[in-house]
Formats: sequence, structure tokens, C-alpha cells
Amino acid sequence: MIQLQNLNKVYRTSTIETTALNDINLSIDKGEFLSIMGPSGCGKSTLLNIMGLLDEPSSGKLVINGQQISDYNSKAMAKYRNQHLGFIFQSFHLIPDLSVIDNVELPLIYRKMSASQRKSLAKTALESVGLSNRVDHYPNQLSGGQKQRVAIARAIVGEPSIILADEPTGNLDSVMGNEVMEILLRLNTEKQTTIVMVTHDENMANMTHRLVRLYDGSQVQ
Amino acid sequence: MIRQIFVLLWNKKTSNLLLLIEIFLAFLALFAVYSYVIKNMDNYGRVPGFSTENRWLVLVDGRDVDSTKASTMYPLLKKTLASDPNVMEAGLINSVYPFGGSWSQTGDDDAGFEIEMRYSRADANIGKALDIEMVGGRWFEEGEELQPVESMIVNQEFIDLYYPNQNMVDSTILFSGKKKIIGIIKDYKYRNEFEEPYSSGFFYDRPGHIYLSNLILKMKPGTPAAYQENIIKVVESITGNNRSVIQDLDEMRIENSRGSWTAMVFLLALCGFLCLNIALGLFGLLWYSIQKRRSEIGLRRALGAHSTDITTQLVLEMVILVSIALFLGVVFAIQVPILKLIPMESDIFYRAIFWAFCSILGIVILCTVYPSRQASEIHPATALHED
Ligand SMILES: Nc1ncnc2c1ncn2[C@@H]1O[C@H](COP(=O)(O)OP(=O)(O)OP(=O)(O)O)[C@@H](O)[C@H]1O
Ligand SMILES: [Mg+2]
Repeated sequence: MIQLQNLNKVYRTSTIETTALNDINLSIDKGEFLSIMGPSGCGKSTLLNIMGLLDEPSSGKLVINGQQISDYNSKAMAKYRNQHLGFIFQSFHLIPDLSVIDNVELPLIYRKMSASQRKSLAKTALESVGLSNRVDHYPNQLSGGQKQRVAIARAIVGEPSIILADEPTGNLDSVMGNEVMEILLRLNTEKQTTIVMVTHDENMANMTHRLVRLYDGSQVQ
Repeated sequence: MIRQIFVLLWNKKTSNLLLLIEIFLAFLALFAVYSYVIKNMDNYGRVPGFSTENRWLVLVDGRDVDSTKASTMYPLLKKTLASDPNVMEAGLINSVYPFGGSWSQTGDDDAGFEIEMRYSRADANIGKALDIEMVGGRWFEEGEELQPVESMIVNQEFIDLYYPNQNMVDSTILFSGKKKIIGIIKDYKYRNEFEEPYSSGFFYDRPGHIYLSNLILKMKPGTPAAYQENIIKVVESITGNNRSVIQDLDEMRIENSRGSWTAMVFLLALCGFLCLNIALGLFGLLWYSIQKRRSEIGLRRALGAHSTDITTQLVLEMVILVSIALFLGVVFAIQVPILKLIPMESDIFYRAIFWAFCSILGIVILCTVYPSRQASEIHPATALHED
């Protein structure tokens, strides 16, 4: 489903050059739940961003569903992100001025969909993360765990085939972290959603199908 | 998208309200100034009906002139000056001369309705001396005083006001007794280049009448200003004193309009300043809000928004907000012509509303598009990484 071939990423500023990713080769199958671990600064987020088409590799190939992504223009990439990818971030990234349901609807806004259809899909997504009683709340009225569940609802509302989660439990205590992890596992088993998750938690990594370790931009396992 | 924009605007209502009020007030200020300027420029654009170029005005001192002296002195002055090689035409006029600041007005309801007219008294040569534009009939002729019915000349506005769509040339009307309209002039904007349309005209006096104490000279083109000395010498030799004055009508016209021009430039500069203020305010506000919303913008990109979607959203947010302010402004401004709060043609106000609306919307779009484009270039990976 996702193939990375000889992927490199170098950040260049006027003074220094940082190699964030060094010759990464990775193949992720459909329905796989993969976790990525490694010390801070080793390039985990960079890797996820490249898989999420939020960043471009310096060299190497990224192939998703048999399509080489470097052939895409920015419009096609935006469309691809919208239809096939779901993102979950460590710091939730909910829009504070929008209600829970409006936040969840966001990906659908860019899909030319009727308002009522958006609303019903968003409600279903919120139900599946157990937040159907919080639709009209605002993000600052929610706990961290609830915020992350809203973010998950937002990630799954468009039924993407791939979810990219960057430390989804990083800002949560273990109880709330486990809740989030359970939702992700359920999603993976019930809907065969491919999930790539960056984590610092060995226990959570062990619950996934496969673990990839990065060190200084290189794959070590 | 539109509903979400309204939600976003509403949830930031405190900071948006300030901008809304500023734009609302600016719109009203622009509306007021534009109305004033449009009215003035409309009036300015109306033909004056006479010419001031190469025209000199001789103000003869009449302090110790009685009617006997007048009857010989003024015709002599006119005749002598008319024979000057540089003078093409010389005419006599009373103290109501162009841009002199004085006026006479007479009204009457003999005809069964109120007629009002501002008038000057003039002789047979003033028509040519001022190149007064005729639209019908003729100017006064010598011996006009011998006509059985007193002659008068009126402007088109007079006809339009009191005898619309009638051919009034050679008609006798009741206006302080019987008067015969012998000629219709296009206009006679003698008080001010920005004066409102007004019914005005001329009555006749023969040269030598004590009223006709001033001369208008049509000079040959290119006569130097220094030549005024020669004219004055001639005048002094006839009047026997040096109290007479000569003035250039063109300069009087320019001097007379200076105040209005200054006021308009000042007010327009004020508008420009207001607009600049709005521009800077918008720019700052947008810049600030974009910095604060970097992660939102990054997130939207991640969720599938193309950079054009981001630009559209930010521009639309501003345009909607500003449209609310402008809508309120229009609702207020439109009361002026609807309720006739100010006695001016309503057309002027509608034009002022239109231009004020366009000015502000133009500024807003100009000041919004650039920062919004910048914002849409925000790199999503970086923006999402920041907090
Ligand atoms: N926009 C950028 N410009 C320059 N260098 C960058 C940029 N983004 C990341 N880097 C560098 O690339 C390397 C990898 O960063 P990345 O964010 O992928 O690390 P990470 O593994 O996610 O770390 P963490 O666990 O702390 O989130 C780091 O050395 C970082 O400083
Ligand atoms: Mg990271």
C-alpha cells in the first residue's frame, strides 16, 4: 500500500544541513498497523509527514497504491490527502473557535458535500469514538482524552484508507492513552484501516503488528 | 464553508466588532465627503454660460457721480475704451458683475405662482463683452428702452422652472408688471463656479443710466497685463480721479473658486487618510490573525485544503465581515435621500454611496489578498509542528 524506496530528507538552512532521514526503505501493507519508535529528533515526524504528503523527500521514491507521488501536483496532493489520509497529532490541533462537530466536519468541507450529509457523517464518527454527547461543545470544554478522540473522529470521518498518527497518546495520561489506543486498534481490525503510528510507548508499540525503529534518520530494525 | 466562516467570525466577535465599527464609520465619512464633492463637481461641470478669458472689469468709482454726470460720463467711457485698439468689445454693467460677491434678486407672483430671479442690469454690449451663450432669441439692442414692453433675458433654468417645455421667446409674462422675454441664455454662473442651478437673467438699462457704473472689456487675445495701465489712464482722464480699479475676470474666477477647491482637496485627503488607516488596520489584523492561526492553516492543508482554498477562505472572511459593515453603512446612508434629510438631488447620494462602497471594498480586497496568499503558502508540516 505504501512503499518508500531509498528515501532521504535533508533540511538545509543557511548555516547547517540536517539529515533527517537517511535511505529509508519501507513497505507497508494494506490493513497493517505499524508503529515507529526512536529517540527525539531521529526523524519520525519527518517520515510521517512525507508519507502524509505534507513534506517532500529530498530524494527517493514514495509510492502509494501503485502511484508515484512525485508525479502529483499540489492540487492532486491536496485531494489525495483529503480522500485517502487521516491525521492525528500529539497536540490535537482542533480549531478552538469551532464546535466539536464543526471540527469533525472539516475534511468534508473540502469535498463538496451537502451540509446535512456532512453533519450526519460527523455524528457517526463522533459516536464511534464515544462522544455523541459532546457535539456542540467547544474544544476548550473537553479533557485531553476527549480532544484526541475528537481528532480521531475528524481523521476517520472521511473513511480514509490510511491513518497517520504522530504520538497520539503523547499528551495523555495512561488511562486516556489506552482509550485512544483501543479506538485505533478497533478501527484497524473492524475497518482494515492502515495505521502508521509514532510512539514513545513500548507497550503501545507492542500492541501493533510491526515496529520500526529509527536512529538518527536511519532505520535500525 | 460559508456557514463555518460565519461561525468563525461570530466567535471572534469582540475583535471583529472593532473593525466593523471602524469600517462603518469610515463608510459614512466617505459617503459625506463624496456627496459634497460629487455635488460640487456636478455644478462645476455645468457650462458657465459666459467667458472670462481676456476679460477685464473696470470698476468705476461712482462716489460723486449723480445722474446728470452719469448720463455723459459712462457713455463717454464706454465709447473711448471701445475705440482702444486692444479692446474688442466694451459693455456697461451694474454692480452685480461676475465673481463680485453681490447679487440682486427679485420675486413676484403676478402670474399666479411664485417666480424668483437673480438678475444683473446690462447694456447692449454685455452679451458680446462676456460672450454670453444664447439658446434662443436675441441679446438687448441699443434703444431697447423704447420697446413698448420692458425686455428681459432669462436663463434656461428660469424656463425649466416656471415655463417648462414652452417656447417663451417673445412671450410677455407677468413679473413685476409686464415683461417680454426677448432672449434665453444657456446659463449665467456668475457667482461661483460651484453654484447650484438658479433662475437668473438680465434687465436692460441704457448707457448713461447711473446703475451701469462698471465696464467689462473683451481684450484682444495676448494683451499683456501691463496694458491695464493704459486703460486706467484713460479712465482717470475721464473720471478725473484715480479711484477706479481694473481687474482680470479670469483671475477673479480662479480666486473665487480657490476656497471650494481647497475644501475638496482637504476633505478628499482626509478620506485618503481614512482609507490608508483602514488598509493598515486590516493588514495588521490579518497579519496578526494569520500568525495566530498558522496551525489552523497547516491543519486545513493537511485535511485536504489546497492553497487556493486557504486564500479564498481568508479573503471571504474579511469580505463578509466588511460587507456587514458596509451593509449597515448603506442602510444608514440611504436614509438621507429617502427621507430627504438634505435638500440635494438624491442621485448625488446614490452615486456617493456607490463610490464609497467601491472604495472600501476595493481597499479590503487589496489588503486581504496579499496576506492571505502569503498564509496559503505556509508549509503545513512546519505549521503543524510549531505548537
Ligand atoms: N523544518 C525543519 N527545518 C530544519 N530542520 C528540521 C525541520 N524539521 C525537522 N528538522 C530536523 O530534522 C530532524 C528530525 O526531526 P523530527 O521532527 O522528524 O524528529 P522526531 O523524531 O519527530 O522528534 P520528536 O520525537 O522530538 O518529535 C531533527 O534534527 C530536526 O531538528
Ligand atoms: Mg515528532
